[in-house]
Amino acid sequence: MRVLSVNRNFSRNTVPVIGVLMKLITTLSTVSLLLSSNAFAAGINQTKGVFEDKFRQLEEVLPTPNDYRNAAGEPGKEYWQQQVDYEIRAVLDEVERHISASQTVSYTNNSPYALKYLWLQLEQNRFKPDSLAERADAFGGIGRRGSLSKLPENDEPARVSMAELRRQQFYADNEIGYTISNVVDETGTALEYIITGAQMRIDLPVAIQSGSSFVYKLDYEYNILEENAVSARAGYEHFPDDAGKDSNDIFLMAQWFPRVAAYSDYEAWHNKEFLGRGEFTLEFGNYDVKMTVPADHIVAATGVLQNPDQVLTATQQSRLDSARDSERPVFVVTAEEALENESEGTTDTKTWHFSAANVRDFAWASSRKFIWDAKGIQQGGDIQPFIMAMSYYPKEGGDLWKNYSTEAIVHAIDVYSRFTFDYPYPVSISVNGPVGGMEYPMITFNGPRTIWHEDGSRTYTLGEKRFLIGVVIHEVGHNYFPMIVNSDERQWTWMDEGLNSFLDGIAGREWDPDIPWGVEPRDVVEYMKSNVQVPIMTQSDSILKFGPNAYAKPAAALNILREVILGRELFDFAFKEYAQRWMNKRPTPSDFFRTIEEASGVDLDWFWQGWFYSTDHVDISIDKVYQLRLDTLDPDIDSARRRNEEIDRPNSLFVERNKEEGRKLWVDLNRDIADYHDENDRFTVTNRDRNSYTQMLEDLGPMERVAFERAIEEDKNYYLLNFTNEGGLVMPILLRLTYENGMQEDRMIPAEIWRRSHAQVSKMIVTNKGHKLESVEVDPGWETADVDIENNHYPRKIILSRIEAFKAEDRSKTDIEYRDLMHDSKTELEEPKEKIQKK
Amino acid sequence: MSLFKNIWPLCGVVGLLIVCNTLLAHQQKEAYITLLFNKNTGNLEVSHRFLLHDAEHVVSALLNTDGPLATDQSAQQIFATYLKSGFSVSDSDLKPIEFKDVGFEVEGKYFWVYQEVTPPETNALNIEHVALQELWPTQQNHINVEKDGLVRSARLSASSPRAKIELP
Repeated sequence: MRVLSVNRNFSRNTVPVIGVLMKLITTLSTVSLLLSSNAFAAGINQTKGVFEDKFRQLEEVLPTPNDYRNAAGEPGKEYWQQQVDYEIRAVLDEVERHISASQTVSYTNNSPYALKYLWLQLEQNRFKPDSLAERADAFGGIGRRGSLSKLPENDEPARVSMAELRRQQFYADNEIGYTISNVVDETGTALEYIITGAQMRIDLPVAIQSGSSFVYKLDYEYNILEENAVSARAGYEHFPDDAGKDSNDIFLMAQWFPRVAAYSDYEAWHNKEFLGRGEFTLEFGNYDVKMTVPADHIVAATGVLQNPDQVLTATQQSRLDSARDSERPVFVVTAEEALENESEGTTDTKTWHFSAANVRDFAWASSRKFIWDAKGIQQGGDIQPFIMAMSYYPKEGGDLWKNYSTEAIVHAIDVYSRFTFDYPYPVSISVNGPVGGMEYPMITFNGPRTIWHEDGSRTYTLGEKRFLIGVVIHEVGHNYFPMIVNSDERQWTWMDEGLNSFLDGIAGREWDPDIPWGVEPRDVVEYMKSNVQVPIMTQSDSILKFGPNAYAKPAAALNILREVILGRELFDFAFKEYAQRWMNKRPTPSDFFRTIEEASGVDLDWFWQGWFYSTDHVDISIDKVYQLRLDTLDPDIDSARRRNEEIDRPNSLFVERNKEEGRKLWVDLNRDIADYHDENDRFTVTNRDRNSYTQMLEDLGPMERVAFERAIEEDKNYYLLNFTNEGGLVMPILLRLTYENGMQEDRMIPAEIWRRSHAQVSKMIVTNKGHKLESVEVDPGWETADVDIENNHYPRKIILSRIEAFKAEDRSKTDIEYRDLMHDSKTELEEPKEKIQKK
Repeated sequence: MSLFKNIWPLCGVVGLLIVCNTLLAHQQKEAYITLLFNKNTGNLEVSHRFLLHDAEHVVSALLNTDGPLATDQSAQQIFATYLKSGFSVSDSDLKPIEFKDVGFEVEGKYFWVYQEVTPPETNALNIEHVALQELWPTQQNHINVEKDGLVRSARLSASSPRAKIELP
């Protein structure tokens, strides 16, 4: 049934509300039809016309659900994953910066298939000249971490950076990559294997049947990379200015042992070679690791220390014990003790023994420079009632680390666990070294440090403080994604970085909302409006702009999903459901998409399509607002309105100028022959009109009469709003209605309004009598990453550009937050210098 | 003299700094620069948006000032000057476009630098922006040129610091 019409032709059966006075407030905008790519072109195509279905169901492109991962996005009834347990015995040669080790690996095949070979990842070989990564590195391309090259251009020659030179020289001076030997089975029988680039295949004498295990052993060694020369996410950092005889190093040990590749139901062997960007995924397993290091080193590692009596002093053990219930971190190794350590050195060794259960990787750090503090977390619950949060850092970390590293661990666990599950590990560690930020189970590497001053003091800026807190929260957060919810970083970076960036924003805002944490939708506007981007659903090594694509855009998308589309109650339940379903399991993107939809009860396929599968952006324009008025159909009322509207229109310019010239009108000069038409205008009501009206009322059915009379009595305001989707990405339309009486009202039009017309839609809004609309604004809180706010206003407003606003508000003043107050506050007062005046 | 004279080879001091600051594995180094043909003013306006934390590192590592982005106007001015000296635009005939300084400010986590000019008649802009790229080789300076409601973009990196953008 039509309720309102913009023309005056109506029949009696279309209910009374028909005759409509349409008043165009203004008409400013142009409408453009959007032609955007269809993510589903491979399957079903719209081959005629311009209609584009932004709401096509994602099932068309997602993998078919099966017994391993079902249509709800949860592990299926036949879900399986492999288990790989490691025993590693390693020796760190500090002088040679060399690791030699042996490993015994127990591989349990829980898949329904027999495996004839095992694939291993040898990430240290990624840095060898014959690795796929090195051979495939394009000169002048986006480049590798830490160094770059530049193609010749115009009259400029080709160039390489100093960092690239240093990297090449490091490679030339050092033998890079694993040396692997003695690959044998449990009985000591040699196994066939090949090494190809950064991967290794061990051929098995007999296939590992489903449900069976296989044990192999191998010896390996490699020269530890200098992280500052190679940017390998791990390695050593040398401190030439330390007081020790041979000076000191910090060793960050990761990707440090041959690791069995993942084998899954959806990809089989994950033997896509490491190219340097797409990070890692492994199988869960139990680790028993002994590392022999210089006796004065302190070792931090994934897992629980098994032999504290042999490697810690009684005092250190006592301090650790007291940290369990301490309100603030307790020093296990004090700054003074660490300084003493680094100035001495030793040739003795100690062996540290760690054990870790059900983790997907193992990393560690070792140095005599480490200060060590600890603080217990009484988490409660059944999973892991007690956690020890610990930080290891050199004097270069100083008070910045003393004050905030361990506390940031505690805060991260508190917030992340609320959104997911109880932190399941007994320890959580933050280590300062040459890596800016990197995560492994139970242990993270974080880079921020203090500023050294010539008076020997160390201070830090507010910016560096924020950076440390932020990076510790972020890296500790990676325990949840992807260390526990074991997504494949090699394929989909957004599944860990995007989700983690979303959560670190939440944790940051709960630390101090005055600090600009996290990703606001407005932060991704400049990226999303650009024409140089790839969809979020792009394999990690092929992403053009890694930060905005894999971190910021998915984080902003999840913020919008939570705050705008689903609301916190639905989103938080669905997000937690995803985390808990896939805790210690291996999810794929489809499992995430399906779980959030299934648990929230909201069809979000349009959202995944727009934000994750396309490069569309958000730009919704409000083009026109029509004011509509309900006709009473009473000719005495409606005709009077029409007459007044006619009077309100501007007079003819010709007529006005004739008046100004004093022209006499013929009708005025000849009033003696005026007739009925001169005395009655076209709005004059006759009894014929009145009879028609009363007959119409008489003919109304009971329901129609009630509706009509109520509508007339209420005399509401009707407005027709026209919108254009300029950016292509369908989104809810967030409206702020401002009324002439000064009141404001926010309304949300769901995204589904675009389902049959993705480019333009109209929406009627009805307001109570007295609430006459003065203006309309789309997305007033900048919640949707709308890239153009100028077309968000009706009537249009002049939106000052950033520079215009800067000039108008005279904002050219300094910001006090980024002073190094700690340092500046020590400045001595000085007498002003005498200014020499010109004579 | 350009502050960028030592970006590439044979620059011992800067070379060490390159190495020292490539460690921020999870910080994504990027800045956004918008060149807006403003219909209201008739000007070509340039807004450089850099992360404040990045700016701090530049100030302390490259610009030899006595503190990280100190509160005094002079330190911020040095950073602003540094940014602008790495930025250049020429028209389709490769004639340089000289921008007038408007100012700079800190807003939240960003440091902004503003410039403007009465735009010449041209059907393309040749843009170069090398700021921060000697400090972080992965630094990307993302350019959006906005004119008549259309956006044309380029990603400028140390390996590819220039781009030609055709105007609508």
